Amino acid sequence: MITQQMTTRQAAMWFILFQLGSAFLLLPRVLAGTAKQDAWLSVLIAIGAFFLLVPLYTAIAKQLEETSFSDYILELFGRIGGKLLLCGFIVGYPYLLYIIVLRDLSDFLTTSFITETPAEPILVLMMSAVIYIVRSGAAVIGRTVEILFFLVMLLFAFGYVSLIPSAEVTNLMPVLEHGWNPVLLAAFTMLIFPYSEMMLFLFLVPNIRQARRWKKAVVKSALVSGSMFLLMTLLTISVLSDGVVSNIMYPSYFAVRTISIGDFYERFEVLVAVLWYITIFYRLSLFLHVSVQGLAVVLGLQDPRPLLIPLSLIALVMANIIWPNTAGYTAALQVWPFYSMFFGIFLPILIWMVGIFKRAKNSISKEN
Amino acid sequence: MLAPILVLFLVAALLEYRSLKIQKRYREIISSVILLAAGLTLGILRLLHVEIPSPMSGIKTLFQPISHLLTRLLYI
Repeated sequence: MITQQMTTRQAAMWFILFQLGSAFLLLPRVLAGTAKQDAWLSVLIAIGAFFLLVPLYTAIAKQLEETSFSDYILELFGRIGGKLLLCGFIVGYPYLLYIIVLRDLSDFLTTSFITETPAEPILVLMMSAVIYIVRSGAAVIGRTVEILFFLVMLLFAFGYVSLIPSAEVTNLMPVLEHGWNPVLLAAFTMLIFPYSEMMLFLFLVPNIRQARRWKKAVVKSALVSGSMFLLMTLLTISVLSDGVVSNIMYPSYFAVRTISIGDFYERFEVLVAVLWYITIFYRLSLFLHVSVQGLAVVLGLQDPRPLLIPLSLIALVMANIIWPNTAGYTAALQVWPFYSMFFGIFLPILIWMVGIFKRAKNSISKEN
Repeated sequence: MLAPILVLFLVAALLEYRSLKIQKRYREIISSVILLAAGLTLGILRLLHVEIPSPMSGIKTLFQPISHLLTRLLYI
């Protein structure tokens, strides 16, 4: 299969929507649960810490040169070892995330939006769109993202700029009431979810062609999504206060519900739901894209597309049993960063070091 | 609600296999059929209300100690 090309601009837009994804609704609660009113400080620290990870990812992207990430793993760890590692990675990270994000989608829609509809039809409708776009390839995703990106930004501006009149700065005071520790813990959570998931973008390096352009897309997208998170956290906490934010499941959705200017300008939460639906779509399509590409290499297939339907079917069934209820979800969310850390931080470090070692060994054998 | 969805996926997959068979992509068909069979089995088990263990519970038992440790360390 020929790798389809994307421009840097399309890639950056895709990455931004990917990061906004589930974090857009869940992050304020997760952050405010630990860092209270200082959650906005954790956002700043997390973005700062992410820029320390960018050189690591870029170094791997440079090592890749023309090969794809999955082929590179096979090259580094041998055929059998590489396939085992790649299979474990795909099932344990992008595919598991695909299942979790599907559950996120049905949880949100069935609890706060379309409460009468069962989860399966919602998921099947979403999945058919995701399967279709992943079948069409990265170039098509890039072109659709250029249209929908501006819609998302417009909806975001509508929803959150309207919150500014009801924001109260006193809700953000006192700064650092409980010291730095809770702030750092919350920043760590945010660095792992959603930022270290950026390591999956390494699978897209061949589509963007050059490591330099790839880095540009990653840095741009982290800056834009980071400032959106900052604005959103600041506004949600200053409107609702940290006590409320840490107790509601979807605070950024709830905050927009409180907008009411002159009994006329109100009920903007539907816009937020639409915004979230679009971002989740791009999140799911990246996870599915990476999962099929990786598994096709593991199974030695030329065409990854026949895997789309069976993998989505398994994900649909698993999405309903991944956790029993919202309480199970909250418990899982506390443990998740520690699990995700292995794939987002430790695995790239391992690949980078093995890559350097291999290259040094190759250059020595060439000299002899 | 799950039963018609399983049928829907099966039909979609069968349609795809027909075009793959013309292209003689047998490796693709076999791996896809195995995964599809796994998915259908999971779906049928769920229709019969058999308890399927969640992968998340394994992760939780493995990583809960680290999470508790770090939380306690940072709060003291």
